[in-house]
Amino acid sequence: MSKRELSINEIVRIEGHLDVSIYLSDGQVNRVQAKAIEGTRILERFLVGRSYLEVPEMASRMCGVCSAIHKVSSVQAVENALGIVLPEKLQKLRELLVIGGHLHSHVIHMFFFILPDYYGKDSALDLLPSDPEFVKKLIKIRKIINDMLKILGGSLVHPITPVAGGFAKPIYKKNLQNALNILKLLRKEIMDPVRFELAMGIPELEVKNTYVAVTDGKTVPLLHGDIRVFPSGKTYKPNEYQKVIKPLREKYSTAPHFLLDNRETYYVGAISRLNINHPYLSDAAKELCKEFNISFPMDNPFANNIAQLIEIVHYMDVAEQLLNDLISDPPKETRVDFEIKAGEGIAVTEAPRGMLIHHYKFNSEGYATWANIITPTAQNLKNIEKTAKAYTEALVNLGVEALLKFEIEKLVRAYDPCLSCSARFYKENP
Amino acid sequence: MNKKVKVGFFSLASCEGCYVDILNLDDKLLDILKYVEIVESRIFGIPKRSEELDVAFIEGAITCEEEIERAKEIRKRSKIVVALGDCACSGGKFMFKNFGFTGAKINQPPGKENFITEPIDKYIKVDYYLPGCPAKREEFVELVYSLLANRRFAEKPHSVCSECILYENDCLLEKGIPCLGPITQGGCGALCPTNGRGCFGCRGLYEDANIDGLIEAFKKHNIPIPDYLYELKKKLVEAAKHE
Ligand code: SF4
Ligand code: SF4
Ligand code: SF4
Repeated sequence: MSKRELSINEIVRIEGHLDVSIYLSDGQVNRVQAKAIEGTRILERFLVGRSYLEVPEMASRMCGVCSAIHKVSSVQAVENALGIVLPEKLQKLRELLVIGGHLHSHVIHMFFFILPDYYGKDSALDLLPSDPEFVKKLIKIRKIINDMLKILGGSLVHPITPVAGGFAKPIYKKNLQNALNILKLLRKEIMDPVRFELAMGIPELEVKNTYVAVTDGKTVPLLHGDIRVFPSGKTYKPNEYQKVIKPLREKYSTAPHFLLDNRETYYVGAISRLNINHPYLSDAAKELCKEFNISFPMDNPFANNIAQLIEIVHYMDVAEQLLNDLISDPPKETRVDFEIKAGEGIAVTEAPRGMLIHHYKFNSEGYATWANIITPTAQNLKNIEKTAKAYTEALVNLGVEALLKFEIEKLVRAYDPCLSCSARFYKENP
Repeated sequence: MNKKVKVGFFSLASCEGCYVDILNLDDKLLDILKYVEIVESRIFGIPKRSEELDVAFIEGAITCEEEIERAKEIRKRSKIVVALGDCACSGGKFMFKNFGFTGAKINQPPGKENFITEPIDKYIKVDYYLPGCPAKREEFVELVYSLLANRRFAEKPHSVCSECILYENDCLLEKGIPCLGPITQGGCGALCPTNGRGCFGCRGLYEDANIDGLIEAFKKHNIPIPDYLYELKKKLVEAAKHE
């Protein structure tokens, strides 16, 4: 009997602190545990008792990488609670900001975190000596996206402009024109690196997964829609999320794990968005799929990276459309009026890493009495365990156990995990 | 003296926003890397090496015993320690307004069941503070170059309000929007009021802050007064007693 445990500690180039332990005996993989061991911040504790103005400021501090979507989702949940409906144009501006955030996040992940794996390097900085021009191009791409975020959000991390009822300051036609010029520049720079990574391909591995994403039957939605499960096709309204998405407490993890219906692991993220909403990709994104023989559904857990690359192209197209619409007919108002009242609000949205839920209750003076936030990475932890087990088995069968550590790290990174925000929400003991 | 300065980037309980903002320096970061070598940083993909460091940048608050140990270990092998962002500088007390919170028992794995939220200087010596949520990337650059040139790095001795007035912004309080600018340490260029939203106090307390004055101003403009202003006042009175 040979029993052993392989621990992969502090996986690098991910957001936050995650260890993975694999328990093997006699060539069998018994168990895989994804251990989020990030320090807890229990932000929920600080949200309760805060006014509807302050809740989004604090909730955005869950994650500095995707602060745009956290901020917008939180504001949206507040608006839902107060019965505020945004005019269409302000809604479009919000979407633009969120797209900026997704582009920013996908670029960091695909070009700074994933790329070094394929070169067998530790860090994107290690590519500097061999290919300085390429690294400089990547940095230029980030700069371009940052300029766009600055115009829409007022700052790069934790955007300032989204507030309940709309925006804190007007965004003028000339700002939008600037954003459009920036977007055109981005398109020019980014297509080469995107094709380059698509051409690199991904490791072979087939695992049947359950995918969950927001859907509206006409777009690849980011801010509004129902919860769709694939392949079952079951669909739930945002306010039914608690019926299906069930938290699970694992002793080895500071972040909660989640199961669908208390039994099924599921994947959230770009791969789920596209497996469910691929008919609504932009023409250019569909072309790109054809060019690289990409078809849906994708059942390789590494394909999340492919989906992110396709999404980069799709989001640029959507952003261009939104900007053109808004430039030809700019929003006249900045912020709509509303009254403070008691209420409960839910926002089910798509963060770069997958489905995100913000849910609050407010009293009649607009102070939060209850808060619940479910982040994408926490939802993915159980699926990370499942696919890491399948991949370990495949590697052990191939007799390449020596590669295990490197390959499992690669698999975990494909999920683009962000522990900073997952390990935040543990209820205190009563 | 061509040797590069060795630095490490560490995260305790944080959102990693401070580091993301440093990545946002883009080409300016490449310039810095001519003089600086990053020898340890999970987010840059450089694994734990436990080497001696010239400068350690620490982001995040201390929330459990394990993080106390980690902060001590980093301090031991670093010549200079920099607290990066409000989480590290104040335990996130200004960003999260948790002035009255002293700790709680939570349902967590061993070593993490006592939840606190403290600044790192409660447990280790800190040489420099870069406040803000996130810490301001331009100030990070300023600090790095001052360290390289052995220049003094100066803190900003004025309030957010004075910067706001300099930019000739309309005061938000007049419009009934809460703003902590009058009691908050400046240096951010009144970033939030300039973007139409009240200051949230993320850079910490301004030296000559007049909390009563702010409470009066809120009252005058019919702005509800948040409890944390009273908690903060109580804290300050207590601290003054101990001096
Ligand atoms: S100071 Fe703000 S940006 Fe920095 S780690 Fe803390 S919450 Fe994140
Ligand atoms: S808006 Fe805020 S920071 Fe600006 S002058 Fe008014 S109180 Fe001061
Ligand atoms: S205005 Fe206030 S909240 Fe905004 S960055 Fe400056 S100190 Fe922080």
